[in-house]
Amino acid sequence: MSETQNQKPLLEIQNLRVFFRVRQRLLPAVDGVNLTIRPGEIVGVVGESGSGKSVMSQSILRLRDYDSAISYQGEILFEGQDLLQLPLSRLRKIRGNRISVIFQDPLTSLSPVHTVERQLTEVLLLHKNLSKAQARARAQELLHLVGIPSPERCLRQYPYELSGGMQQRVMIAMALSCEPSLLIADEPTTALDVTIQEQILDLIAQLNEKLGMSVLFITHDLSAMAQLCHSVRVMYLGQIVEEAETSALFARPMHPYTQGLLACIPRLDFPRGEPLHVIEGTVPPLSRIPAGCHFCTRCPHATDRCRTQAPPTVEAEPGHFVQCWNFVSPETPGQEVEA
Amino acid sequence: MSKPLSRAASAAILQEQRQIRRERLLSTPGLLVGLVVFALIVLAALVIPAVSGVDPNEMTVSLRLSPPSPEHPFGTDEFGRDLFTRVLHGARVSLAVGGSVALLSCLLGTVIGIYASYFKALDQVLMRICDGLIAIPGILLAIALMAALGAGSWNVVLALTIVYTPSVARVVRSSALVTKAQTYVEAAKVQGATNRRILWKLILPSVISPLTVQASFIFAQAIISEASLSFLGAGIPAPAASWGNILQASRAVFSRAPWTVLFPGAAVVLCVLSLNLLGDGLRDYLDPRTGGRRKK
Amino acid sequence: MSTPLLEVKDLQKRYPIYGPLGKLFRPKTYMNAVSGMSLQLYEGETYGLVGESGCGKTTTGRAILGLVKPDGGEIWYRGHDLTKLSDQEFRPLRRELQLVFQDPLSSLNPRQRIGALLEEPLIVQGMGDAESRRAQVMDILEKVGLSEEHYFRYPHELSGGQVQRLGIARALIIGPRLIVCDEPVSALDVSIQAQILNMLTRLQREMNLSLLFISHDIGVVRYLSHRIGVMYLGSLVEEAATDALFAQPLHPYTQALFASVPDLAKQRRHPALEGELPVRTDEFQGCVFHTRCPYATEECRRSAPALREVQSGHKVACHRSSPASGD
Repeated sequence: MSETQNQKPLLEIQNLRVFFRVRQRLLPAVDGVNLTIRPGEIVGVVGESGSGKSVMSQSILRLRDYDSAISYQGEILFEGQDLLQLPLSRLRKIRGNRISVIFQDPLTSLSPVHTVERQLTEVLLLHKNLSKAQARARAQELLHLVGIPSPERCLRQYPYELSGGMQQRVMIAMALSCEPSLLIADEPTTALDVTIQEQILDLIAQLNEKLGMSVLFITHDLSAMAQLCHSVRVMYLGQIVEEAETSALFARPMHPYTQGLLACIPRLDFPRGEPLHVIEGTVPPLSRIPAGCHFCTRCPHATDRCRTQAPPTVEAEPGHFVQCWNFVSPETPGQEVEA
Repeated sequence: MSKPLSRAASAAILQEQRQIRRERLLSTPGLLVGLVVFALIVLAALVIPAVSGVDPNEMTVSLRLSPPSPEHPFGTDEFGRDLFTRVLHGARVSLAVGGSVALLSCLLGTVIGIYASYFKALDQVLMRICDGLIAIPGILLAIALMAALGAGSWNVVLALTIVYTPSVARVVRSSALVTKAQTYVEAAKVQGATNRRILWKLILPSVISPLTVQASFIFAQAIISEASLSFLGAGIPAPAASWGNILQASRAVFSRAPWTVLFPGAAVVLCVLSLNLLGDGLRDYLDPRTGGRRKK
Repeated sequence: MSTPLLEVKDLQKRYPIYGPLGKLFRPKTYMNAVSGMSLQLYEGETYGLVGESGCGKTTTGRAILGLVKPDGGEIWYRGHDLTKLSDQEFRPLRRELQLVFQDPLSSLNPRQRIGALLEEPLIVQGMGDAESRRAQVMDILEKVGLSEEHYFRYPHELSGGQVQRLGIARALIIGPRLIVCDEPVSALDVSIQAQILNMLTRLQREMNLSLLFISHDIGVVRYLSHRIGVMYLGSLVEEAATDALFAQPLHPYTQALFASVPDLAKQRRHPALEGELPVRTDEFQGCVFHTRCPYATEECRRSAPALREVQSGHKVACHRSSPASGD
């Protein structure tokens, strides 16, 4: 994706912090995230539960604004305007139109009491001044685009009559209906089987190529990420700890957390009978984020400096950023092994 | 073998859990207000008549329908009886009736509801009977039952228990059905727990919270129903004081002496309101989804 | 290795499909969730049952524990046909057969503290007195990597990984011989998943457990299992020792399944399998996989292939029975 490298960014998140107020305390779910997406780029954000990846992606459209316990700092610039400062009435013009979202569980994101046609044309009627017949024709076209074999039949059906993979395709068709320039995909394949997951990932990649739409792909699954994304951010406890082109990240992971994550997947070429690598401990709750480096409580290489001072983000090689005091090169992996 | 848990450590954990419960209690003000007001009413009904020693049925004809004054804070009725004392005595009757109805219908309704939820054949029989009872408007059913049973406070309790048991049974059954489908009930089966153990150890505790809420509403409704029955002359026979009786007696004179309606009416409203606040508060407090979880 | 500890023979479970007027009329047809499912599990072995959602793997596991009443077939465990036992007769056997659930938190009574929760199976089975039960609880807490400080905690106060440790502890405390693990790690983060998998293998060795490990995650199943059965649409399509199966998957479905496992090394390529799972109604004919199989012939559409042994210990249900050539 070298030709996209020099283009103006489509979305620029600058030093974003998102706080939850819990029992009179402000807990930082997202703690200083910078992220840039260029037109036509697929950016992946990977992290475990509690890493803040979903909160970060939901902040872009302020989907949690109904929740009074949430507050933001920083900037989210989309085509030059700061989404965090935008009044809700104008933000709604962007939601579903310029930026679309697909979620993990398609069945709960679709209305159970309306047909696919009703839900699909609603977006079109809302944002695009189309007549009913035009909207219907466009809906068919969209279903065809996302690879649904018989669009006419599908339009008449209710979501529960469709399989999980088909539901997710309908969700994607809905997200695409206004030709958004950015698609946020929040764990779109987690609820699906591997063979179906592969089909959906393939579909997203094809749509990216055909329509030139940027994708922000949120997942906990490193291998799904490897298949789809041009570049990857690894998140841990509200911060991006490593950022690189996909191939560079998987070939030379530098942050101990990334290395640990990669090592603990039981891959098909892993010698059986040997214990799996593990990252000891669990992600601490937001109320007990350690001082210094957020990963220090679980890091096998943590020193006193890690426990007291937050590490800077360093460019370890061109385009490859790590937030670590003493990042280790991949030649000397140092994962702990359960006894 | 590991050593038993050190006392200090376990005390700290229990302390923390108590703290969380306390915070949740304080975050439901309705519950506290309802509880305090209701407790004051009960206390007043129990203590004041016993201490003052005024006979609620003592008539002073010269003081008929006198407005509220220092001697008679609520005024007097058309027989010159002290309304304050009568309202408090009426509270005793109303609270006793309401409380017994709530208690009895909850006991019966729980047993019916739990068994109906667990055994399919029983479900059909029990629930159809309940449906039949619910189909008749409550107050009509109560009047009919009172006509058959004859007036008297125990018969009021009996009639109202029959009226309210089906609704308790329904509430209990539906929440028991939810629990029955939970994975942890399945886990208990895998361990070999008997039906009896599953019913009473797993399902019963899960219906307690909707049950308490329901009980407080039934308490309130029973007070109103008893008042209605007495008002219609089908409840507690005169001259015994009950809120319904007092209101009924005031009907004829209330344009001349509005206080005879105002005070007993206010007593009913206050009592019912506090019970409803209590019920709503309990629902919020006992619902495990509202707080108490440390995740997120 | 001669007689299996557990043998499932020709298991059937079907669900009625009703017409538009629902239960007023007789069912239109039946959906066969499990049909003709057979497997053998030997002492001390881990048998991995792998397949996509809806293939009947969970139903099979639940039938073994008597949580689903099968419509046909037998389940033999140490001389008892579990499908014929009454609740009372099954109860003593439950000491030996346990289940670990996919969603551990919902499988634990939210109103009980962890100490009481772990003691419950012992009480139900009438084992030991209060003192020895408490000691056993402490012992098992330590074995699964929890500590005595958790004794007074409630399940919802623990993290996801800890809750699954607790779920496993509860299954282990009565000393079972066979544990059915139904997707025990699929709800966990990868770093936690690895901890749990390591613990399971360690405990299996220490306690000589037999495991029926049900999962959709091929990497996990491969790592844990000695033998693997691949299920599709209600029955086994292939079964073999783990290394043999990965060295040479014979059934076209197994091949497609392995090919669609996302791998870090591979970049994007074409999906291995088109289409989706059909419904196996009574009218369904032929090989279960014929609707999606790239090699399907007229014969495949007409008659269902039997599961037969093509190499020692390697069984496959496919008309192209000789070892498949190429990919």
